[in-house]
Amino acid sequence: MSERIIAIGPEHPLQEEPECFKLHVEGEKVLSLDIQLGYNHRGVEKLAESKSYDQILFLMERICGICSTSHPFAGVNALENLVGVEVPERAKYIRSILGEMERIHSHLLWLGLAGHFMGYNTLFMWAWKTREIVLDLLERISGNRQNYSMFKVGGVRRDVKDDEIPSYLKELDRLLPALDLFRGAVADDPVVHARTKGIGVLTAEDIRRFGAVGPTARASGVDIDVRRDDPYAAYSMVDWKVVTGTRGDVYDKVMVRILEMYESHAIITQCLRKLPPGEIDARVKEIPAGEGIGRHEAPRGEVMHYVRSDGTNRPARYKVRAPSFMNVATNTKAVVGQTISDATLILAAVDPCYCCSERVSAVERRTGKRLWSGAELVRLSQDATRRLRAKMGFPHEISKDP
Amino acid sequence: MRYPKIRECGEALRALFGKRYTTRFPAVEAAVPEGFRGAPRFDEKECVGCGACAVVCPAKDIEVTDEIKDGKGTRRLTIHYDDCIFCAQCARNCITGKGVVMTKEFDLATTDRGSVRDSVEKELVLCEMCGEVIAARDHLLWIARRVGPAAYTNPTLMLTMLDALSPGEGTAPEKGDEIRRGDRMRVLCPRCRRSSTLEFSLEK
Repeated sequence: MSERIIAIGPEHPLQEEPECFKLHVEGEKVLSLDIQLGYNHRGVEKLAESKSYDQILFLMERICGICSTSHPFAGVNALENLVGVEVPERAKYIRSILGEMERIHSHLLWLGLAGHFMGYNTLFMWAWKTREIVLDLLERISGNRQNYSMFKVGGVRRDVKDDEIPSYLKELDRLLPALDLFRGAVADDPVVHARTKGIGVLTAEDIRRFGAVGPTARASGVDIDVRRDDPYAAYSMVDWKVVTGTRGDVYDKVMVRILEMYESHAIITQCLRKLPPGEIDARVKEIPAGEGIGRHEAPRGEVMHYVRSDGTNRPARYKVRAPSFMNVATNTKAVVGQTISDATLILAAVDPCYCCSERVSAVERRTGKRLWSGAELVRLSQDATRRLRAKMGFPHEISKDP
Repeated sequence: MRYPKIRECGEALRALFGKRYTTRFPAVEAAVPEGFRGAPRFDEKECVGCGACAVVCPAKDIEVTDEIKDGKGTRRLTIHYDDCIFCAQCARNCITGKGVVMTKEFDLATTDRGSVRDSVEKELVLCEMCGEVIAARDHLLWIARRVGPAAYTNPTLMLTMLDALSPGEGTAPEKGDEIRRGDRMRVLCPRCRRSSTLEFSLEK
């Protein structure tokens, strides 16, 4: 059978990082994968050079809507590394609370979409319903569901109201039964097992070779987490542990993310209970000339910001490295030898962007004839689940697209 | 497989008989929490027209236009909601603290892009000699109130303050073609004030 190329991408207005995947297939089997990046160059780094230090963090928030805490978090870490200022305790705790709330809502978003890709739309509905609890809390704490505008050099912009903490804790406890539900839904569902286990395996060796970070690396047993390895904010002051997997397949990536949400929940509740009184801002007046590097463990992995100052009120150079940039490269290894319907799931398992996978279209290399559209590929993936169910003796249909 | 199905049925029953999860938003007004960052609005009374909000705005969204017509100056500050990122920097950095307020309005969708804006007009104080813009009148009065008796050390501040107390009273000295030393007791822009003091003393 002749080799064909399936192009996934390149652009979709909804995804964070538009990229083009070209799957080289022979029949159903994937032979290799080409990744092309850089379709949505927005000039954020150059734009940062034209903003004052106070304005930059608002720009960083808008690099990614889902990571709207992670980028300013890494940004303030870089700027505080440059200035050498000690942040007040209370501000550190508030930062950690925001960072972990973002992790929960980001993982829930991913979990829902992963469920949708598998044709498990019930999970999709549950996860997105539960995500609202976190978003409502973030709205009450920061004043918005996304783009919190909380981070500033030397502290945070808005304080957490002490008298509202008990109600925050009560809301957070509503998360636990939902998380148990998700863990159960993934752990005891034989169809999910059949669909995700042994699919898209990445060994620890592969992870090191690609320099992958975050849940993608931890699912393969590579024990890295900036929050523990290079403590910042309040992460060294509370009890939590890094979750790792062993097999590095899609199933482990799902489980690592679900278990991480329990840890995030533990961090948030401890931070809220231990929230010390005092100032929330160190009042940094001036950024001296110099260089700073800041890191933060975003939901998708380590995000790194670098800033160089020449002593003026604007940076001379600003550099951002997002975790997905490292993680998408692992796909070139993970999809080889898998079927097309599994490839859709594997590309999604890294949590790069879903929308691009929804815009999948299959093209025959010689004639340029389109074989499948994005929606059809999602259907293909859902059909694979349906076939599995039939084979396993569950004759009922899976739910239709919501 | 049996257990997962039972669990799903349990959830389904709970969803069926439980409270409705979604809101009836367009029909029923949605409640937003205390401290929600909605559309920023100018407060006509509290705004002094200094333009600090326009300087700090990360999106360069607040427009400041000065218009001089028949010897009268007007400053207009405009927030365009189509470019606003609702970061509340304008409200946080307002020199009076109340000139721009974050409201709870979030339902700003419209088909007329020109209508999504809020503006405030402020009277400008102009230099009596060259007609240059000095500041908004309310801004000068706000500074005078803040510095207290020290306002009497600056004729521009003092004269604006006195004019606000009893407008139109008192006689200004005759205005010549050139700046003289006597012009120092006028409302002057920094450049004219320098000429009136420095150049006059250098000549004599």
